[in-house]
Parts: sequence; structure tokens; C-alpha cells
Amino acid sequence: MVEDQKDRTQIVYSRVTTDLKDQEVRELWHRLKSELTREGGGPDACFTYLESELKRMDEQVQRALDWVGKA
Amino acid sequence: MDGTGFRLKQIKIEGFKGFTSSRTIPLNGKHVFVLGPNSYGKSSMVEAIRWGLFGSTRRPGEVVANQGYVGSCRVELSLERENREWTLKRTLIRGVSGGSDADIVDNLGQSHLLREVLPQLESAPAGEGMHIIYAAQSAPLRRPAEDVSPFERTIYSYLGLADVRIAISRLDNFIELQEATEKRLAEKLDEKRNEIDSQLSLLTSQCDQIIKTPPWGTGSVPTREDTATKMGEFIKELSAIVPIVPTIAVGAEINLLMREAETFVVNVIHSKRDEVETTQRGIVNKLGRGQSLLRQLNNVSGQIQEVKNEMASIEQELEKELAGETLDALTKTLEEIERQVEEAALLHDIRSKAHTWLTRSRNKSKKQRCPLCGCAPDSGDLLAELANSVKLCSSEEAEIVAKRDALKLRRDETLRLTEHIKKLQEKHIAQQQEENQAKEEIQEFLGIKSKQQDISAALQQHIGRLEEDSLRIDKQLKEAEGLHQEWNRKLDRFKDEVRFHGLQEQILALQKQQQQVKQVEAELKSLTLFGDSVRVISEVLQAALNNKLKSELPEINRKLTEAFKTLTEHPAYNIVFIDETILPKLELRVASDDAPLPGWVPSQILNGQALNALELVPYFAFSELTDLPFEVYLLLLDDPTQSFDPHHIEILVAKLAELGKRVQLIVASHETDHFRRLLPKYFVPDNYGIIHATGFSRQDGPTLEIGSGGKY
Repeated sequence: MVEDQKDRTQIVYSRVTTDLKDQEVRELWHRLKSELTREGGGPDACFTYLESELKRMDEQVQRALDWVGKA
Repeated sequence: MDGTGFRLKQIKIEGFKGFTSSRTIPLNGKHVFVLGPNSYGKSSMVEAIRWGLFGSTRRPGEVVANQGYVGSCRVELSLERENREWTLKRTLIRGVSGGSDADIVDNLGQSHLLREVLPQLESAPAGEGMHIIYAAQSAPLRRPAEDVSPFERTIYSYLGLADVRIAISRLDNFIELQEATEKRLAEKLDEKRNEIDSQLSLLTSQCDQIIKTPPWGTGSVPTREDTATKMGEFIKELSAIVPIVPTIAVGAEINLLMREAETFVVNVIHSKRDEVETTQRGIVNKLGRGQSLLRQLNNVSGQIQEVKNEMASIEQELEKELAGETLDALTKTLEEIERQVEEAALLHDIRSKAHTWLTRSRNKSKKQRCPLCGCAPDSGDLLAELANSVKLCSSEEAEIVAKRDALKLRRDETLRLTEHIKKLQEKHIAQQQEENQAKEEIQEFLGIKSKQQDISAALQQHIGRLEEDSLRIDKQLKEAEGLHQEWNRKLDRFKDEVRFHGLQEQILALQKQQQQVKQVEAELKSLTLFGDSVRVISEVLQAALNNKLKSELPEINRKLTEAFKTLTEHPAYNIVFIDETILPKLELRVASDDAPLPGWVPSQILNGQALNALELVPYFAFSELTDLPFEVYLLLLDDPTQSFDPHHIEILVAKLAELGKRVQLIVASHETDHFRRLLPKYFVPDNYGIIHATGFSRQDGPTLEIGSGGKY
């Protein structure tokens, strides 16, 4: 029963890997999948990873914005 | 029963809801049925266990503390796992927050964090409802998604797809965050872009305005160097006028040159203006002084002339009054006449006295001798002669007095005129002194020493010359003003040129900023693409999950239908299934064999009994299907048989007995008789106990009789 449950999740994740065609999106999915399936990981870890990436990009845009007119 | 999870051994309740004092209720890890009429405190006990575990109330703002109890409101749960006893204590924090403190200690008395020992408890939902099941320890629902209902959690946990469902929920959470970030950044970028565009438009318009009437004239637009050269020449031109040395070298930056030129113009203008104005002030002062002196001299001369004229008039009058005589002669004549008046008065007095005497003597004797000569005239004749003599004498005297008075009048008038002339002479002398003083002042003012010169004429000539000087200075000032205006116009043209160059520089800088904005747009684009990728992943993950769900749902639906049918034996609706049209959201629909699709929303067609049964269906359907160890696997039911008829109550008790093989049951019900009849039939006596709620008072709380059904 336990194995069945674990299998189901893997089946869904594998299906996602198969269905994603765009290389860039696939790369992101692989990263998310590793967050979802690693020991101690899961949806929250996946969200934390995305959140940190967004924060990084947000700060990057903010810096670029602040740089406008100051260079 | 599974021995690896926590089981409830005992509950201690103090000041909670209907409990007015500290009460300890032993459970020993067995199933407990709390039976008794409504309002006897059964729900308080079930709620106490729920509050002890979760700390939250069924309804927001619900008051859990007993209002009549002065002590603390607290619940203490004794839990057992692998022969070790743990104690979970929860105490209400007094105040309006409704919060509570929880502490869990092990059998050695060591305190632990609740979330470490019972990670599921802290986050599992404890909403309103009559049943609660806690998921397995290793289940992934440590942080339940807000949009996943307890029913969905049960199904997803059973399928082992909870991770996927929560991942979708988390991805959706992230997409919301991403969109908010995207929106915020896009707004900031728009703001920046608009600011640059607006400034660029303004500066371009200002440049166009300058170009319309170019300050550099008709030639081509000058370079900064051209402007700098022109300004250098201008400064050189100005520095030739005043002895000021330029501080800025030719060819310096145009803004510095501009400041230098401005300083020069101001200095040159002030310098020239000050000089001319000082001269003008001197002339005006002298002119004022000269005119004042002339007025003073003319005034004194006029007064002298007036006095002279008056004196001449008085002298004529005097001459006429004297009529060729002198004042002395007139005085002597007057003295002579005065003497004659005295004589006439004396003679008159003698004659009057003689007449009086003769008149009195005649009355005494007719004959009287003259006392002087001794003659004896006729007294009558004498008296008549005396009377005639007195009369004549009076007439003469009157004539002399009249003559004297007339002469006296003439003499007095002559004296007055003489005195007047004397005063006028004195005044004339004073005026002459004043005139001389004025003339001396004028001489001093004119700087001449000769007294022979016509001072007044000299002064007038001098005033004339000063007036001419004043006019000349005015003209000079006007000419200088014209020149200054020309310099200022030139300066303004330079300013416009410098401003034009400045605007051009700013425009270039803003155009550069526009390029920078494009780079930011590229950065933002990569952020947006990242969000798009997450959206795509979420959609594909959802599609994959839905696909998987669809393959699993027939079996799920079969189990749900089986449990529902067993519990309700509903005559009309015997099919329960999950609506596939709203996946991955899971909602139950009911249908019947003769009308299987699309099914109905249960609350719209089922009665209370069937609805209550349906609430229990997922737990009856799936509870025995997992081998996972549980932290606390507890089914807590508060009056699950509402609206149930006796037949269905028996079905429920039978199902509970099945369920009780795996989970601990704590069930409160007012169906005392039915439960007392059915429990021995379906439950092994050693595995359950009955608590009878036999009474309730506001002062003492519920009256509980423990162990009348099972053995503790």
C-alpha cells in the first residue's frame, strides 16, 4: 500500500517530465522536482525555492531600476 | 489496535465550558462513549479534548472558560505511546486574545515542543464538525494548503497524492506572489519610464522654444566651444571698462564662464552707475544749496526794499505833518501856548474872584473903594465891567486852549511818526546784516572773495551751470542704462545658449536612461518568463494529477458508495462519486441507478441523517486501508446519530466497531438506550467504557458516572 502511494506521486511527476517540451521549463521542473522528492523536501521546500528565486530576480530588477539615471 | 501511535489515557478538565472544578476522567486508551441527555455536558467533554489538542475553538471568538470558575481554564491530556506516557497541558491565557499556552512533557518530566512531538496536531484543521481524524505521522501535510478541504486531504492522503495536490496549491500560491511582484515591478518600471518620457518631452519642448528665437542669431547652432569663445570675448570687453581682472581662463567650462560674465556685468554696471550717481548727487546737493541761498538772498533783499519803501512813506507823512517846521520849533510853540493858557486861566480866575467879591461887598454897602487904588467907582458900573471882563477872558482862554490842543495833536503825531521811522531804521539795519551774512555764505559757496561782484547774479550763473551739469549727468546715466541693457540682453542670450547646451546634455542623459530602462525591461522579462514557466508547470502538473485521479476515481467512488450504502441504506440515492469536472478539487455528488449523471450536490437533496452519514463516509471507507503509524489516531464524534433512526444507529455502531479495531473512539450521544443496547453487541467489553452524564448544574457542572458499561 505504501509503495503504491509513493508510486502514484512518481507516476504523476514522470508524466509532467514527459509532457513538458520547452527546454527552459523542463530545467525548472527538474529543479522543482528535486525539491519535491528529496529527503526532507516537499511542496513547502519547492515553494521556498521558488520564493527565493523570485526574491533574487525581484532584487535584480530593483537594482536595475535603481541604477537607471545613476550611472 | 495499532500500538505505535499515541492513544488517550486520561483527561483532566478544569474551568472549561460546563466544568466548574477540576475533574479527572480516566480513558485508559479504550473507546469511550459519553451518553446522556442533551445539555448535560457531553459536548463540553468532547470539546475539551479537541481544545486540549489544538487550542482553537470551533467558532471564532467562542468563549471556552467557565464564567463562574475563578481558577485557570486548562485541559490536561495523558497520552501513551510504546508504554511511555506523555502529558499535554493547555492553559487559556486570560484576556481578550483567546490564545493558550501548551506544553508537552515526556515520562521523565522533560518538556518538549508540541510541534516536534506532534507535528500534525499543530497544523491539522479543527473546524466545526462532529468528527476529527488525524493523519499519519509520515504524511506530508505539515503545512496544509488553505484551499484543500479535510475531505480532499483524506482522499489525497489515501491515494498518496497529497504531495502533488499540495505542490499544485503551493505553485498557485507562488503564482499569486509572482503576479503581485510582477505587477509591482511593472508599475515601478512604468512610473520610471513615464517620468523619463515626461522629462524628455518637457526638455525637448524647452529646446524647441529656444530654437524658435535662437539666442545665437541666424547662424548654425553653436557648439559649447563656440559659446565659450563668445563669452570669453565678452568678458574681455567688459574687463577693459573696469579695472577688474577675469578669474576664469578663456576656454573654461561654459557654466563657469557664465557665472564670470554675470559677475562682470553686475560689477561693471554697479561701478559705473555708482560713479555717475555720486557725481549726480553732488550736483543735486550743490544745486539745492545754491537755490536755497538765492531764495534766502532774494527774500532778505525784498524785505529790505519793503522797509525802505515804508520808511519813505512815513517820512513823507512826517514832512507833511511838520509843514516845514522842525519838531523842536513845534515843541517850543506848544510850550508858549501852554504858558498863555496858564495866564489866561489866572486872569480869568482873578476877574471871577473880583466879581464875586464885589457882588458880596455891594450887598453890604453901596459904596466901595477899590482895595488897590482906593478909588470909589460906582459899584454897579464896576460890577458890569468886571462881568464883561470875565466873559471876555473866558472867550480868549477857550481860543488859546483850542489852539494848544490842535498843536498838541500835531506834535504827538510827529512823535509817533518819528518813533516809527526809528524802528524801521533799526529793522533795516538788522536786515542789512542778514543780507550781508547771506552774501558772505554765497561768496563762500561760490568760492569768491571779491565783495564788489554782484553776488546774486554770480549765484544765478552758478546755479545755471549746475543745472546744465545735472542734465548732462542725466543724459550720461540714460546712455549708461542703454549700455547696461545691451549687456544684460547679451548676457540673457548667453544664458539661453548655456541653457540650451544644458538641455541638450539632459536630453542625452535621459535618452541614455531610456536605454537603461530597456535593460530593466529585459530583467523583468526574465522574471515574467520564470513565472510563466511556473504557470506551465502548474498546469501540466495539474493535468497529470487529474489524469491520475481519473484513473483512480472509479475505485474510490466504489468504496465511497459502499460505505454510504452501508451507513444509510438510502432507498433513492445509492451512488456516491467525486465530481470529475472540477478536479483537482474533490467534491462529492450523489446519484441513483436510474439517474446516475450528472449527480446532485448532497446538501440539496439528502436529509439530515443521510448528510451526517455522508460526513463519516470517507473515514469509514479508507481508515482501514492504511498501514502507516499514527501519532494520534482518534475519532472524536459529538452526537453522530443526529436524525438517525434506530436501524441506522445500529448500522453506525456496527461500523464504529469495525473502525474501533484500528482507531480509538470517543463518541458522545444522547441516544443512551440505543447505545447501551448495541455496544455490548458489537464491542468487546474490555475495549470500551461508558460515561453517563446524569445531571448538570451551573454550580457543580456535569455529573458523570464512569464505567457503568465497560471495565476500566
